[in-house]
Amino acid sequence: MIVSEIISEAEYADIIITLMKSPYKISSITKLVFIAFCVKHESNLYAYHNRTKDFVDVFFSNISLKFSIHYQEIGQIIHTIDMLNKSSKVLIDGDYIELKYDFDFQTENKFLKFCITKIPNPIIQINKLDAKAVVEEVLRYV
Amino acid sequence: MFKLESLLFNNRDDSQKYQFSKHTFIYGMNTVGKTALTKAIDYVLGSSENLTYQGLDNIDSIEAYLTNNLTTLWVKRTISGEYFYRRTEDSAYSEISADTYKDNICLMLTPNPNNHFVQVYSKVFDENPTFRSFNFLNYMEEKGLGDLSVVFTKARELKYQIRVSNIMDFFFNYNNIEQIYEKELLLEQREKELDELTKDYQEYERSLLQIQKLFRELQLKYTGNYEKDYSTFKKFQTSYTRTAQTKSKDLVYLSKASFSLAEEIKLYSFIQSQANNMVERKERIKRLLAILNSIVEGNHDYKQYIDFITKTVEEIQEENIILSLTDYQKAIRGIQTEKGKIDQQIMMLKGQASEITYEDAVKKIGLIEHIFSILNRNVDYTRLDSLRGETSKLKREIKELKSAFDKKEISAFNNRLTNLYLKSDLKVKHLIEDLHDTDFTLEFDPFRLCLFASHKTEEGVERFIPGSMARQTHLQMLIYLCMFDYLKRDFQDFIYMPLLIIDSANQPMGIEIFREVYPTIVNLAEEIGIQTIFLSKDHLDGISDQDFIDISSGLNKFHKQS
Repeated sequence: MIVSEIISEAEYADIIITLMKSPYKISSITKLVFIAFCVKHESNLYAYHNRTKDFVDVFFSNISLKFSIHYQEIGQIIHTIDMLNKSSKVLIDGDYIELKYDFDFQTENKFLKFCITKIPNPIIQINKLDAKAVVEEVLRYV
Repeated sequence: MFKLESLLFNNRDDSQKYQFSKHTFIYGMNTVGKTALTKAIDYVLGSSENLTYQGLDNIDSIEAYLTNNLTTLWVKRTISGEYFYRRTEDSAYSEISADTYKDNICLMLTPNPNNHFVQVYSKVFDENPTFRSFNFLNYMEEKGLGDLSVVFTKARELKYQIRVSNIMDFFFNYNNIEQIYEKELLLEQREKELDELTKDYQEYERSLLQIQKLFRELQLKYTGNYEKDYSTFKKFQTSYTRTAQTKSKDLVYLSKASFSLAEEIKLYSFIQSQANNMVERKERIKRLLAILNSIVEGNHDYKQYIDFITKTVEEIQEENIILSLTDYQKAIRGIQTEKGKIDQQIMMLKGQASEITYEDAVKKIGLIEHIFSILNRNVDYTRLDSLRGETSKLKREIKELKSAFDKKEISAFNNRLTNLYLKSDLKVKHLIEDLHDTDFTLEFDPFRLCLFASHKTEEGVERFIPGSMARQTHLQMLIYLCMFDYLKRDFQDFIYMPLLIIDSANQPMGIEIFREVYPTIVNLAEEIGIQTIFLSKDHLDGISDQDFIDISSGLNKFHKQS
């Protein structure tokens, strides 16, 4: 595995664990996979300050080109979930996923740090969609 | 060959002279004026900056004596910014403009300057270069010594950055640049011709629309056939008779029909875009499923995590029924044609409904007559089409050439640089280390102006920025000289100044290494034909009196210590 992949997986581990922790507590693998991808690739924070578009639109439209280029990162996300599963840090039942271990760390991800300070929190708003709605949104931009 | 023979600092009737040899070594400790000397040389050679450097006070003017194999030139620049020159020592100085001053110096660089290079450069980069444009090659300043991320120390200044990048593009991509130049010249000619023809064509097209409108207003039947339309017009001109109002369909009915067709077009367009969306969506579903499948194929353990996502996507796929496959485009086209006919009838009826006075009719007749004279002119459509095709092809080719890049020149440059470095036969630590390194090569990137080295390791070829100030400064000096060598071979009679002034290179190298490296640099400069001026804080043994200048007691005798 090349260094860039290891770094990318480490970034995803940070994002995934943060998304499974409070206040998000995302419990669907489907949602976790796509939201983690969008979080890592979100760079246009300005769009969240200037609310001319819905959070959901801003969040998913951002992946439009990135998904076509970095699709192999979905594999990295799954690999990270698999590592957490095999090391019994999460409980998985079908699409359900729950964190079983208390990871004591603060996220380094810029977007997640931004979301914590933002009211309403964009990710909490996006998490209100069910898994199927998330896939529907992804299909608009993939 | 060009040479800076001497430099004079003038103060009223007194002066101080420095005589330079082909390879001058100037010795002086800190703050005696070594850097000030480089600034003074740059000033007298036409720098746009004022001479305000510390230690150069109480100087009224600076003179330089320049020679080449054929002629001599004395140039003088006062501190207040006046420019002078003279051709012989006994004649008086004549005042000239800054441009003429630089032109005169430029003529000393090469007896037959190759104007083609200059023309190509000007055309492609939209800038007229003088020898001053390339003076970043002449100075290796103390600030920036050993910095291989910007090899040319002057290129660190913002004002040089864009220009240096263009210049490097010009030097290393010359074949393409020359082709771009030829093509841009051709494009300019073709565009001029096209512009002329387009004017005629546009007037012709405008006249066509205008005549249709006028025919409609006079209720004359317009066919688009010049002969027929002209004869219709001539008949009207003699009779002044307008066609009687038709009783077929009234205006209100036709307007309603046109509006309803417009609504129908809107509806069909909406359905068409929906159908297109569905097709795209199917493609996206396919793409997402393919990504998910490839992940599972890579590792079957992942199936448990992906399964739900795959099922959800498939569920979404089944939920959507494909819309009718009607050829909406065809239907829209049909309706548009129908609407066009009705709109034509509406215009005709509107024309018939309006009254035209005799004066109006006469005016319109005059106008139509004028338009027919324009339509009678021949517009060379074939030439117009071929010019349009040719110009867009040329533009495309220029764009491609600008992005294409021939790496042959750079790789030849880097081979030469690596050879000069590794085969210099010096017994210095950094070179001995590099000689023992497997497949050690140097890679100068002329566009980013940085230098990398590469060597072979167990994991393959590794690229890195060479370390140690001694090595870095040594390599930096070699790149300057390699650039001169490259210009000498590939840009003969080009307007660059064959002079290299190196300020305090001994310091980052250390005296031991500098003592070894200095003669090789001077020998290489001699081989290439470059005059060198080294300024050093360390004294070197073995330098002849004619090559040695000691400024330990101060560069400028007029300087008043504060």
